[in-house]
Amino acid sequence: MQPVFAPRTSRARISPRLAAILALVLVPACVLLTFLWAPTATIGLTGSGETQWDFAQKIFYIHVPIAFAAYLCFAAGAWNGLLYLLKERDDYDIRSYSGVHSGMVFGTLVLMTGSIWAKAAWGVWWQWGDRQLLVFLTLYLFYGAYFILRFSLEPGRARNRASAIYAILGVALVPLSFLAIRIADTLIHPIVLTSDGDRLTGPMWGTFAVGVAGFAALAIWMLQLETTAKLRAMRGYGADEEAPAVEASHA
Amino acid sequence: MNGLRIAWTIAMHDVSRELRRPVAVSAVLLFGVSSLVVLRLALAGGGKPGDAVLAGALWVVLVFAALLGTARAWATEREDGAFDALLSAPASRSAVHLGKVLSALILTLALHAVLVTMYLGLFGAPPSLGGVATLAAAVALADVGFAVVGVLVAGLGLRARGRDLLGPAMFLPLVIPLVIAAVTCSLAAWDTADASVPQLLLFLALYDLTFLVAGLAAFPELAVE
Repeated sequence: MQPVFAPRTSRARISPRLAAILALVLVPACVLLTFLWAPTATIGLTGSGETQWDFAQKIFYIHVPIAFAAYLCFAAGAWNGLLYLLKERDDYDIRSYSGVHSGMVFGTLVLMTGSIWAKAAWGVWWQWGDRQLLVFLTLYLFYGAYFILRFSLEPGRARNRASAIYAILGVALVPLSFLAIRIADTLIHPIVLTSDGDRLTGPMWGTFAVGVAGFAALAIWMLQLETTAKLRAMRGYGADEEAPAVEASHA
Repeated sequence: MNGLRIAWTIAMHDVSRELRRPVAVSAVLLFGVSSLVVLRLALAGGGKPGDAVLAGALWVVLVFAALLGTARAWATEREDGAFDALLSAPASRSAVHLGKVLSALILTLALHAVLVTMYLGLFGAPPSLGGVATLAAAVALADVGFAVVGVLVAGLGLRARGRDLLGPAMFLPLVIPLVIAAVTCSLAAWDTADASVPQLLLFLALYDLTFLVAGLAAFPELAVE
């Protein structure tokens, strides 16, 4: 019987169990801290001198970490695509696919939470002036076409190579999109982190950090689960069949 | 024969073939001209449309014309079954890719020159000579981007089923940054955007270079026999 995973070449290892434990602890912790510990930001004062609270800003602790997780997944997709081109091993193709696939799942959540934030902050579901949302939308549309490309090709070397190259192109698209939007800047965005110093207090930073770590762990766990399942299917293991020990790396 | 000469030979071969029997070019040209006429009629009623609408309309037509034109970059080789023969020729695959980019660029520039001239006749030219130069520079640099991305995307989908639908799905998200910069450049040409034109043109050149290098690096990996 073949091993589920080909011999590893990367030294970067994150145990699936550790990723699962971190995700299961830190993601609920982030939600609890968001509502129980992180202070509600203020917008300013009303005409009558009362403080205006910005409760909607709390979605920042979920929205931004999910966006980081999506970028992490897309980066894993691109990195494993590069490794596939260099080493031509099928497991890298599967890892690359899993990265883009998980990135799209997180990407959908980013666009949904971003829309909710936009509705609360600006009264509209989509704000075309939001720089980060536009960059993300471009990347989301780009990687959406990845699946059309992949499933339009016959399985094999040509498909794996085309998919890998396409996954890598996303790396160029992110900075170029950001730069284009920044140069053509007539756009607005609610700035939380600025070059003059952040507006986040200690508890805000703490909650944010827990969210980033939690959703990153969740992304890694999802990547490992999907990769393992796909490699099992590819190599002919049944769902209930015991496979050799699995410890995947993606980054 | 060095790579550049091979690339130029391939480009000239494609261009002369298209001039002898201009099936693709005439179809794309007709598409572009018809689109501009439709736009002129659609925007005819109810006062003068804003410059932002007009600049956007121009770039929508240019993007779709470029998309249609570059999608056929490998069409002849595919239809004639000559693609594998081209790959087995004693030439580097990067040179073959560069040749295709050059031919796509020459044809796109020619098509867009006609379409932009017609657009200026239908909707009015920028108020100054500097504005015209800005628009011309933006179109030329954007065309390089359309050619490099279009040929790359056509190569990616070369062996795909339903490649006609696949091309736009890959091409359009990739050219979003290009279109943002080009539209802003056009608005600056009509003095309706307070943007740095040199910065925008530099960005367009950077975009072109990035995807040219990506295409040259990717095509040899892609063209597996």
